[in-house]
Amino acid sequence: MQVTEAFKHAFLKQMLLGFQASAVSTKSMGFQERKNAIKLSADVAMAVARGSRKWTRGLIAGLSEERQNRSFLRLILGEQYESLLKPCHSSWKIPRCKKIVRRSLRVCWRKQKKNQSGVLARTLVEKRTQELKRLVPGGESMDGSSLLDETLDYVLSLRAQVDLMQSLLTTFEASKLRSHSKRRLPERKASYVSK
Amino acid sequence: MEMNEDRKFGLEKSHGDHLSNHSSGVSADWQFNTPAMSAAPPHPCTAASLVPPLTSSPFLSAPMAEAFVPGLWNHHATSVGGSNIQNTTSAINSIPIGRPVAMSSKGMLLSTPPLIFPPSLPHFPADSGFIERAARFSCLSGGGFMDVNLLRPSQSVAPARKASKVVMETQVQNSELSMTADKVVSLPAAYGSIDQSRMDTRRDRRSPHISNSESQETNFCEGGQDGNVDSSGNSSPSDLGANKRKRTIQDMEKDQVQRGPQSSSEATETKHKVEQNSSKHGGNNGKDNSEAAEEGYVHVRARRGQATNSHSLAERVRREKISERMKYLQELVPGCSKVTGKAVMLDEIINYVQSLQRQVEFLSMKLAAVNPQLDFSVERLLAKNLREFHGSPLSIAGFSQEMSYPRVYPSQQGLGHAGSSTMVNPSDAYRRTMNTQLPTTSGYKELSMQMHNPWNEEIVMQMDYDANHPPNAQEMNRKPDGFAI
Repeated sequence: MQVTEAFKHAFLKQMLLGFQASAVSTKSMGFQERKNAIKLSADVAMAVARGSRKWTRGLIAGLSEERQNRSFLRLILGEQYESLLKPCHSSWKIPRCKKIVRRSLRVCWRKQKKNQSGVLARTLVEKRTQELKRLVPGGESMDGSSLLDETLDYVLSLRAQVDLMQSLLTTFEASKLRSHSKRRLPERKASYVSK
Repeated sequence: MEMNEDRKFGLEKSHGDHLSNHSSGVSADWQFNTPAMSAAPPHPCTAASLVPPLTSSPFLSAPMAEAFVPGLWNHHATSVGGSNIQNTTSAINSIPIGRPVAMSSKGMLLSTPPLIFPPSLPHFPADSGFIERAARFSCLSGGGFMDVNLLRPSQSVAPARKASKVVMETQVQNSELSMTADKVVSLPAAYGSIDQSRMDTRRDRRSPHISNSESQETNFCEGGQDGNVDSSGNSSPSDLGANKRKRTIQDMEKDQVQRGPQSSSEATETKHKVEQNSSKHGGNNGKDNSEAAEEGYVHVRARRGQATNSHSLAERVRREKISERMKYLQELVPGCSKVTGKAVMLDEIINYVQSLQRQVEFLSMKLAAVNPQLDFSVERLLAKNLREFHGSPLSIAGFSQEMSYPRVYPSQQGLGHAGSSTMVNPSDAYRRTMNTQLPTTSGYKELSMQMHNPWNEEIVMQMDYDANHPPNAQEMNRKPDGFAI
């Protein structure tokens, strides 16, 4: 299970676009603001590159909660921004028929009366599922199996994001290093350029 | 007549699996024939009409058998044993000669039945179980003509046990399949309560493994049906047949014993979406998956020794889904291969996700630090650096798709060698990206004006910018789904 090259490609493109979009406003930014801008554009790039998934929608919805991000988001997403926001509702509950729910609860309850051994394990799992729901964007409205699905997807994207940012970082650092060395060693520019 | 015909066809299907699993020689023969027979003739009506009352001689003549074997199998492949022969004989007698030609899509199998059938004839009357089954099936469709035969062969006691098991199994399967509120122990009731629509859907939900036969089954079932009862009678046995084909001998017998009482006692009222047919064996899992993928329903068969309650079935489906996902996640999260158990796995997953998120934060911090101007003259930077970054999977892999531009940057005249071409491409790609994206992003106008200015000199300089490559714009707007799992 690996991310495809197309995804990485799109991801990087989006990120660079995002950097550009926020660059103007960040000329005079402090460190924190810059960092937030970078993170924001990275997250948005990840969501956009991935396409339409539950967690991407949840992520964008979460990001747009803060006012400062909204203009940026609108810039990047354009007309899709509104459409992305509308159907996504983190507080949506999965519609369930009450009768069936009641019946299954009764069955589970009866089973529990007989079988108390798995209670502890179940509560542990429940707790952890809750926490995972908090971690994965848009996870509140997912049920068990789809939560795991989205987690899988999300983990893959996060990994790709980390890899991408790391390579960007090394690129920038290398270029910075070279520019520094260039400045310091102007007489060697010719040989440097010829490399 | 029609009803009988349909019933017989249905019988054949429902019992087909059973036949294949039957340890007796008869079943072996049937096994050959069932798949061929499942290529049912599209004219069950005619066949039905041709089936005389099963008062005809129990043993058909060999030539007749040869001629009508396909139709015969279609009728009766499912029914195991004695009743079969009764039905088959009548069917054989009634089926027109032309039928077999149309029926067999598996020509090779056709050749075998004629050879096999005559020797197995003597076995048939001995198995009364099939007769009982046939009786029940006949009851369902309301036809009475099969009962006549059923009375006759019920002499043998030896296979009675097996027969009863078979009957139980049928019942079980029926109840499983139907899952209706008025599920009763007896098959007729179960069949009768089946909705037409559900039968259709169930018929449609056939595993691809027997999809051919099933489609043909449905074809001729629908062709032959007179009403709800008929079709339900047809399809339920056909469902059973399909089910049985998936099962092994051992499972069948044990399941029958165990599930018979269970299924009869439990009333699965709800027309559950998880009304299910998947076999429990790994060999059949492929079918299940493809079924689920096709229909959006999940076909699940209750495992041996497990309750067939719809709730438990649904729960089991859910649990299996979850465990499947956990397996994927296990591969993904490093160091989780040895971990077993949901709680610990979830713990690891949570830790991993948290660590990744923290890493992103940290990296963004570093990026902010490394480039205080944040002008992100990425192009220039990347153009310079990607040339060096041979090992960078990002640049190479990500942009290998770009068309190769054997151009050299004006600023680096020395880079005329071929090795730089690939490196140049990424920068070209970037440039193209930037330049195409900026104007296309809506709501971006005022910013693009400002942005263009610092880039303008770049644009002018980069004479190799090719306007013939707008694909990037489309790519961007397309929102690719970049995962391949």
